[in-house]
Amino acid sequence: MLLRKYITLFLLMLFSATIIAQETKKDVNKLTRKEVLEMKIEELSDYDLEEIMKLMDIVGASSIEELYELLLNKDVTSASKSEESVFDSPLSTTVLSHDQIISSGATSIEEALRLVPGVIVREKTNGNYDVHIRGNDNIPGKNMLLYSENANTLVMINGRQVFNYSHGGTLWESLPISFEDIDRIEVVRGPSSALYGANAVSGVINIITQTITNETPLVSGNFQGGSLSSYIGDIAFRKQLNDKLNVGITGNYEVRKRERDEIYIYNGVYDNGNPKYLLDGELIGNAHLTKEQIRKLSLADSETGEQMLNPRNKDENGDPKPYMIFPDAGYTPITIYGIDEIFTDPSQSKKRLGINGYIGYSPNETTNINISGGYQQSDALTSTMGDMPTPFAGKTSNTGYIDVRANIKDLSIQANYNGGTIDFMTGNEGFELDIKQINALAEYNIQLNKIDIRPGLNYQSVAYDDSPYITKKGRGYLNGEKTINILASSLRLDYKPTEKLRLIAALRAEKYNYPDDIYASWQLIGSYKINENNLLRVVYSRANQSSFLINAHSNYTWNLINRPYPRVMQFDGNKEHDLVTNDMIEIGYRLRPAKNILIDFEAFYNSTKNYGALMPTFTASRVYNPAEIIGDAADDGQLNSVIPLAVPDSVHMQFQSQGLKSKQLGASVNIDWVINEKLVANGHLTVQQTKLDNYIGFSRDETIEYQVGKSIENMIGAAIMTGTVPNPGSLISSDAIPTEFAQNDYKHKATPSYFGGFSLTYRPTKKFEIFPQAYFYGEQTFENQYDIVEIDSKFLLNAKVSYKTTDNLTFYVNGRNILNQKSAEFAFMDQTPTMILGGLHFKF
Amino acid sequence: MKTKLIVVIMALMSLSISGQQSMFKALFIFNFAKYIEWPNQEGNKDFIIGVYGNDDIISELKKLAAARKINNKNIVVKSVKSPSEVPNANMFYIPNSKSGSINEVTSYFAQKPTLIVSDKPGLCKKGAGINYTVQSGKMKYEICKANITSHNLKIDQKLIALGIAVK
Repeated sequence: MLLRKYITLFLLMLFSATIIAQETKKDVNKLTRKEVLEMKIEELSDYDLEEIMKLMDIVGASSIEELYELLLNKDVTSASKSEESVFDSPLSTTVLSHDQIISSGATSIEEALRLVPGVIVREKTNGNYDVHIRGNDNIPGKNMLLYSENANTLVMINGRQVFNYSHGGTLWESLPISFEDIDRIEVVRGPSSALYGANAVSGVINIITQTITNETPLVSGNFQGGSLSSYIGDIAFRKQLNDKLNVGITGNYEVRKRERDEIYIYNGVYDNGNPKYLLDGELIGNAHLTKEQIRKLSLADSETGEQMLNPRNKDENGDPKPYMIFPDAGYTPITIYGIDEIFTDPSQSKKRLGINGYIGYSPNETTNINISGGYQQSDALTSTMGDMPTPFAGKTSNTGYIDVRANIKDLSIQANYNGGTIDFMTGNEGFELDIKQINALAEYNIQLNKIDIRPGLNYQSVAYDDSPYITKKGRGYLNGEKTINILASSLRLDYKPTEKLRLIAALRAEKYNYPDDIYASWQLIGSYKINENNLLRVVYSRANQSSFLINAHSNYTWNLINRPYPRVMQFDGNKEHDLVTNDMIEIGYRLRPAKNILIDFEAFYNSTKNYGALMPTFTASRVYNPAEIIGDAADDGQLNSVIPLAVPDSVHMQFQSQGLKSKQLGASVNIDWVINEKLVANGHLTVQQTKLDNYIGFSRDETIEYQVGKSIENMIGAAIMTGTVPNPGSLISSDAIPTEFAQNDYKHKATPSYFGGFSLTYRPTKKFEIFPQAYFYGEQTFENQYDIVEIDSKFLLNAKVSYKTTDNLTFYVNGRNILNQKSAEFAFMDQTPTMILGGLHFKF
Repeated sequence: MKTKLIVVIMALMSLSISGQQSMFKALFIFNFAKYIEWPNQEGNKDFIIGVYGNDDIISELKKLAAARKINNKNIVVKSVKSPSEVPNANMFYIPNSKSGSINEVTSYFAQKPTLIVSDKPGLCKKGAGINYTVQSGKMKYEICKANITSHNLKIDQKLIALGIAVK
């Protein structure tokens, strides 16, 4: 009884205490974090909005949410041409945000791409890189370094192509923008011609610039400098002037040195193993040499090692001159450049500057117009695109652009012009060209109940002209203005029959002037969102390269003055060649096992055909002992004692596909993990295997030798059949291609079998940030026309430590390759050492 | 095994923090209603909040519904697979994971007296009236007056002043 009384009393007290507690709302300014966290939602609902906002500030629990938003819920526009969550993207997609790029300490856009799964990034010289998506590197191999350039990935800035239609590929150093311009980099892996047109064969890299809003700092910039006299800086001034108008101007500058000022000289060893070159009376083979040494380099006899003399090039006394490897200006009547023009400053690897202007105008809610324009200058010492006794060459670019993008309700229009001058191989006549690229695009998005329909039209005209820079016609590789025109129509259907299922068909037809043909590309995609945290997708897609000017229009006469033979090689394009085409099947799976982890898995099979190259179609050789050869072979059809004296005289090279096809099977996985507010981890790994069918594996010079041999065989055969013996010194010829040596399932090792990276972002306090990052790849074999180079596997470790003095100013120390792994990442190129840079990042 | 355990612990840790987030988002929704005036509400007994799909906010809103009223009406919280399941919703919330459905939601509720609240930066530009965003570690909301008044809702100036106005 007494107990019941006490219980009643206790309950009454409790009840009244609750009422008192409810009535006495605590002062928000006096509450501690712990007290707020202990409050129930019913209690908190007594507070008004302003007070709730204050309570949220006290709890401060939302920064992890911000991290989820920033890292795991990014938006992407490149995969579907409209904004969607990366999680929902139907294609293999990665987005690198501005903040991630800055945090990583990447010193260039290319280096930042090491954070992206499926991207292979190799440094050639300090600040100059080779970038490939998924692989298919250096096909066809055993050829010029030109064919190691990645002509399969379409790089764009805001959808504006920055593609090099002369040779195929991207001149990364000639991009006019830098970090402060960039809002994010979107990388889509897999054939994407159906969305973006030709050359999006292995994927697209779309660099999206910043949108200027009221939140944009008026001034912001980044500057770092340190090892190898590397200085990299950029600055931006941007302002939202009123509701409708914003403007911005940005500038960037970068200069970097190499660790040495010697240049590597290759092709320096004869087949018999003897060195090819003479320097100050000493025989040398492949070596790093100074400009002064290179100037003196001459050709030695393969047997005797004596200096060889050129009977076709005599001095004023009528004596033959030696074969100089890098002849100075005036060495022959056609030599107008020398080593000083080829390598103006061999100690400098990269110098570039760029300025950009932006205007954004939104006259109403459904219309926005963005105009950007800029100018860039660049000078890079990197791998050559031509054929010299060195794998190095300078490339300079002076170009400007203007780009207009407008969205008017559901209509998107883009038009741009890019023009200027590019010298693809400085100091070599015929490789400097004026370029003009025009692109116009219109797409309309029709949204029906469950289906989005996006028809589009695109016109592109590319004109390159070398005539202003050649002494006379025939000295350039185009010898006039040549064009590539592309007219395309596209249609993208995005159908969501149910909440979970999405079916996409993107189709595009492109009509080219060269080849005079229509190519179709497509993406057929099915994605199934099992629930909010699991998405399965299947892609079947096809994409193709366009023609490049060098492939369609080459018309270059190479008078060889630094080799005894052949005397001349004529390079011709082939306007009607088949374009490289890739078919891909891909299965992707994305999952969020917990709110703070995102795992992205993709497995792909690529089948790529129609690889081509400028290769010999015909060799005319001069035979000096025909009677002896025929006499020796007459009995049994074999040469038993006589060595044929035949040398190639003239070679006809034409762009041709020899049926080479690559088959690649691979998979990538990427994990983003927000461990807590202080620690974020990322890791990605790609494994792949590539095999080649119809792989002949003959370099140009080996094909020429083969054709010389076939010419002799033909001569013997004709002599046996008809009894005719040509005169000594006569020309014999062959157009045979060594197809009998073609192999299938040849293991292509130019792409590493594994590559990837991982990184941690650690913020122990709000002011400190440490970002260690590793990038690694497996060993590779690079088949060049002059050498087969084994590239060792590599593990690169970078780390950036930042200290934020205020919200506006951050100082940092940036270590690149801090384990000092000095193996060359790209065949013949430099071994860049550890670099330590100090810098600051500011915004006001 | 150890790694798995760490993953689970970390995941649980972050889930508990995000639980706080959902609670505050629910409290915001509850408070938004105080600054908005809906037309012709006399006949309605309930104040209907639709939530697209499953989200942690639902349990928080249900707790509020059990304890509080809005404009003297019972709060009814409905988790839906399509906006058409709540044609008379006073408020409709699009969780972050459903942000891709913004166009479907805005076109369904066009002209209807429904306040659309979303949870992904930039969605006000796509038709949401109010949108949660996190800036510098703080949860805030963007608010677009035109997207609210176009639904025949009246809006208190203070709600605009407390948020980030988007035009």
